[in-house]
Amino acid sequence: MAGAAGVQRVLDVTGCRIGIRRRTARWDSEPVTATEAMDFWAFAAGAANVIMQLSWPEVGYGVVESKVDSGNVFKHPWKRARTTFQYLAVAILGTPEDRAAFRKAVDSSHRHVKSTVESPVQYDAFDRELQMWVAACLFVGLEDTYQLLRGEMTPEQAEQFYRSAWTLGTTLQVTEDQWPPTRGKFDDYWNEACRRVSIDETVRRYLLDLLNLRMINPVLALPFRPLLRFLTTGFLAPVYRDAMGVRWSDSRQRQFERLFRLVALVNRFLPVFIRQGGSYLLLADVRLRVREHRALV
Amino acid sequence: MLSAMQKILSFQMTIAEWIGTAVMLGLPYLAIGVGWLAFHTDHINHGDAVHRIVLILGTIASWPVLLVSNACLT
Repeated sequence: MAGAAGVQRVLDVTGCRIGIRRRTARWDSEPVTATEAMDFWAFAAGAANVIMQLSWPEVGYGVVESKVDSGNVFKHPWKRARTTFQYLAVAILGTPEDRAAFRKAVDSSHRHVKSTVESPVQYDAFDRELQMWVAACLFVGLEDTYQLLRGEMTPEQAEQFYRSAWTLGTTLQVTEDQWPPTRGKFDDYWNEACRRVSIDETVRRYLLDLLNLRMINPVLALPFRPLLRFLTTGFLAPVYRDAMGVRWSDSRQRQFERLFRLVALVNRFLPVFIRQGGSYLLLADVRLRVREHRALV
Repeated sequence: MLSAMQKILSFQMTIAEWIGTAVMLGLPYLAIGVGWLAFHTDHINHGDAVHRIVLILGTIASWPVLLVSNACLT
């Protein structure tokens, strides 16, 4: 396991999820859904989420070896960004019709993502277990960012939030019975799934290129690199930091928490059309593309 | 059409969000007011200090009126 630190971590919630010591207070105990987690700040956790998803070798090699150029982040970075965020918008904010249309489009790309005899690991993009893992990563990303922005949920809210996020997987081939039935059971699934985390040199190099923003104009990328690195490492649980070989410290953790307490305060004053306007525009673009029979992905 | 109207009219926002919206609308308004003031200083050069402050603030706040008419602030 190249790139991994020598320390063997206990794979429980403290190793597999980010630990936040001080976060914004919860203002209400009203019922919640995952739609409230779509505030644009949440995309700060995007790169960390990609690392988590690709940390399963089957997903990592599926993406690194993919022959689908139209979805290649290094060849079409802005398009890849659009389609990725559109998937989230469709899965969380969309109607069943939106989801069916997007599934058809993603399926047509996924059909080409299959391991060959030369692949170091066997994979198939239609593997429901792999898709469940990716969906679980997306859920963890939404839950982490939502609680940083709005405070820790009550157990009832956590359950409602979890249940409403299942479309992250069921929009593709994941079935409802694949999701652990309760939020508590999800922790068991997640901790178990973290045992399969293993980032080898090939996938690691790919992820570091992504983190260094090699796909966009260097002049544009330069000022964002340190911030992206900080945010990404902050959103990675210890097991992923170890696998990537990136460092983190107590003082950075405090900075990270301070940053998000400030962001959370600002965010409370922003009306929803600012916080989530981008996602609704992306969703509107999906609907327009469907109406005009243009390609979604 | 009616349902869109109903949607807009029944849209809920928290007080914090209303404050934020007001600030976001208020900042450009103030910026234009200050810009307006920078090019229309003739009327400020008389009177005492208190009078001048009232004139300056009044000009920043009422730039839309001053755009269309030469209202007298004194």
